[in-house]
Amino acid sequence: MLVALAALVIADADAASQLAWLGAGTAALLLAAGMIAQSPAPVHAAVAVLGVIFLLRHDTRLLLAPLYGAGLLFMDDLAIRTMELSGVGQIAAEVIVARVGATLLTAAIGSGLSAVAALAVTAPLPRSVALTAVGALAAVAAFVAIVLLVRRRFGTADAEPPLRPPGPAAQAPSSPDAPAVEPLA
Amino acid sequence: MTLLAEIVLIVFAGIAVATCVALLPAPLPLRRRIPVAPGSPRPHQLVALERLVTTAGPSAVSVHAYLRPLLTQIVSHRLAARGQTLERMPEAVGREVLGDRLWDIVRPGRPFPEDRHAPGVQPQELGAMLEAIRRL
Amino acid sequence: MKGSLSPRTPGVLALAGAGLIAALATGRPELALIAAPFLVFGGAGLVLAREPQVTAAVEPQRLRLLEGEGLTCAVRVRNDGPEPVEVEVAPVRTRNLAVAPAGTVSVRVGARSETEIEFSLRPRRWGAHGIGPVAVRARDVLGVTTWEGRRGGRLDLRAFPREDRLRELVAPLRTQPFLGTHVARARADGIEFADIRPFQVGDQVRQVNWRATARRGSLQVNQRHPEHSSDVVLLIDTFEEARDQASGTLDSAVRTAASLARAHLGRRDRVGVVDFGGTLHWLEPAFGTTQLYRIVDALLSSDIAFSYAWRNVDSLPQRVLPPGALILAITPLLDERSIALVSQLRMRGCDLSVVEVSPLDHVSPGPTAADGVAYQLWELQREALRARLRSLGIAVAVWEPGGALGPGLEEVNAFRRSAQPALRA
Repeated sequence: MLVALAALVIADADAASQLAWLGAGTAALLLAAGMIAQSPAPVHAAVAVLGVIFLLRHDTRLLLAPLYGAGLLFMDDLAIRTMELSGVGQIAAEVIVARVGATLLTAAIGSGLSAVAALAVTAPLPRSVALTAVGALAAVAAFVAIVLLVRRRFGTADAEPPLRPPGPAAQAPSSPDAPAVEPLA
Repeated sequence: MTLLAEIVLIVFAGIAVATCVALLPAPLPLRRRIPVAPGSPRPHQLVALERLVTTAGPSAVSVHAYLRPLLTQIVSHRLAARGQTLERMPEAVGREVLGDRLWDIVRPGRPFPEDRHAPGVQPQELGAMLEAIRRL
Repeated sequence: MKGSLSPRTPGVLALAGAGLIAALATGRPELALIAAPFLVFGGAGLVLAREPQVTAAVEPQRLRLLEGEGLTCAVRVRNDGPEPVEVEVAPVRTRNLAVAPAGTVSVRVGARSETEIEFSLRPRRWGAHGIGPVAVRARDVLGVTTWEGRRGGRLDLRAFPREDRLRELVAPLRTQPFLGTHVARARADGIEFADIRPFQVGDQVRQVNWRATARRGSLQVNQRHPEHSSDVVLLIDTFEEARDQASGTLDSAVRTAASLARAHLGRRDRVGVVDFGGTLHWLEPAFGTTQLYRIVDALLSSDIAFSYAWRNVDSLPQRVLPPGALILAITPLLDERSIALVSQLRMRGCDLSVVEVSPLDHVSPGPTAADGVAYQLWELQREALRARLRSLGIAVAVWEPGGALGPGLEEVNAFRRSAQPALRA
C-alpha cells in the first residue's frame, strides 16, 4: 500500500520528486519501525508524512484526495491489525475477512463522502476570515462531539481489575514469620 | 488584521482539537502479556561459598576465620575414611599427603594470623587444594 | 466488561484533526479531503460501538490427571448481543500449566450464538494448577473500541505426581502391634520360623514340632515371628529448594514421597506426612487407601515458603512422630534448620533415614573461575555433611533426579544392617 501511494505522488511530483522520494523513504522507515517496535505511533507518523507529500503533486484535482485518504486509512488499518494479531495464537479465517471487509467499507464510505465534498468545491475558494472561522468551528465541533460520545460511552463503564494471572494455587499462608502450624486433616 | 485573525482562529482551533484528542480516555494496550515468574535464586549455601572464595583471596583473617574451619571439616572426613586424623598426623606426613599450602591452613593449632592485612588464598590456589583433597 | 478506545483510535483521530487544521492553515482543501475518511472512520466506529454481551466458561475434560499428562479443555464463548462480535480469548492460568495454542485465540461469534474453542493443557509439574477465568477481549466491527473482561470462574486442575514402582523399601527397626507385612522380632503366631522351645501349658497341638520332640524326648513347639505393620513418617523439607527452568528438588521430593507412601500403605503400614519448612503442615499416620489420597492431596500443596522462623523438633506435636516410627526425611540438605532437625531426631533415638535429593543437577557453577572453585567446595562440603550424618548413625542415600530411587533405598538398608546395633541403642 505504501509503495502504491508513494508512487502516486512521485509520478506527478516533477521538480519536487526528490522531496517526494525523501518523504516516501521516511514514511517507509517509520512504518517499519512501528511494526518492529509494535507501536502504533510511528505508523500514524508514516501516514502523516504520506499525507503531507500529497501536496507535492502537480495535479490539483481534488477528486484524487479522497481516494488517497482512503488508501492511507486502509494502510494504517492493515498495519495496526497486523500488530494486534501478531500475539494471537490462532485466528479464525472469518475474523480476517470481516476486519478487512469492514475497513474497506468504511474507507469507501469516507472517501465517498469526501468525494461528494470535492465535487461541491469546483472553484478554488478565496481565503477569508469567515470561511476560516467556519472551518475551524466545524473541526472543533466534530471533535467535541467525538469526545462527548466517547465519554458517554465509556465514562460509566464498570471498572474491572486489570488482567493478572492467578497466584500460585492452593498455597500455605505466605507470611514469612507467622508460625502457620496446622494439621492437614 | 485579516491574516492575524485567521492565524488566531487556526491556532485556537488547533489547540481545541489537540485538547479534545488529549481528553480521550487512555486506550487499552495493544496486547496483554501474562508475566513469566522469575527463576529461583541460587541456594544460599552456594552463594555464601562464592562470597567466601572471593573474600578469602585478599584476606588472611577471612581464611583463618571462615575458610579454615570448612577445609578442616572436609579434610577430616576424607582422612577418617583412611583411618587417619589431623590431630595425630605428623607434620611431614601431613605436608606430603595434603601439600604444603593446605597443611599450613588446616594443621591443628594454627595461630591467628599476626598480619591482618596479609594476603589470603587466591581462587586458583584454593582450586589446587581442593584437587589435593579429592585425591585423598 | 471494561471498554475503552482501541490502541489505534486516538492516533486516527489525531491524524484527522491534524489534517483538518493543516487544511485550514495552508488553505489546501486536499488535506481536509484526505483527513475526512479518518474522521468518518473514527466517528462511525464510536457511534456503532456497543458493549458486547459475551460470556465464556472453561470446561476441562477432567480435573485430575497425572503429572506430564495432557488434557483438552473447551472454552465456550457465547454472544448474546444482536450483532456478531470479534473476540480474543485466552484462559488465565498459573505459570506451571502449559497451554496450546500459547497466545490468544481470535474468533468471530455470530449474533446470539455460541462457539467452542479447544485448548490443550499440560501441567509442567505436579500440584494444583488454576485455570480460568477466561480473559476476553472484544472489538467492535471497525476495531475502534475494545472491551476487556474476565468471564467464568476458576477451576483447579490437580496433577498428581508420577510415582516410581519400588521393589525394596527401608525396613523399619521396630514394628507396631498391628497386622502387616513386616516380620517382627517378637515371637507369636506367624509364618516366619523363629525358634523352638519346650511345650508350655496353653500351647496348641498344631505348634508341636514332632521331629524336635522325637530328638529331645520332650514336647517341643515352634515359635514364629508375627507379621506386623510399622509406622512410617515422611518428612519433606520445604525450607529451600534448588530449581532450574525445568524442575526443582521439591518436585523430585514430592514424587519420592508419593511413591514411598503408596508402597508403604500397600504393605499395610501406617503412613504420615510432615511438610517441614517455612510453614508447617502434617498428616498423622493412618492406614489405607483413603490415607493415600489424603497424603497425595497434602503433597500437592507443598511449596517453598521463605521464612526466617527457626523450627526444630519441638515444633512438631508428639502424635505426628509416633514412638518407634520409621522417619524418612526427604531433603536437599540446603537449609541449616532441616539439617539440625535430622540430627535432633537421631539424638532422640528416632529410627531415621535421609533421602537426599541432590541439588547439583539443578544448579550450575557461576560464570567466573572463582565461582567454579566455590562450586567444587560446595560439593566437598556436602560430602562432609553426609559423612557427619552417617557418623551419627543416620543412613543417607543420595538420589539424583532422573535416576531410580531403588538403589538409593538399598544403600540405606545396607547401612542400617551394618549399623543396626548402634541404631537400636
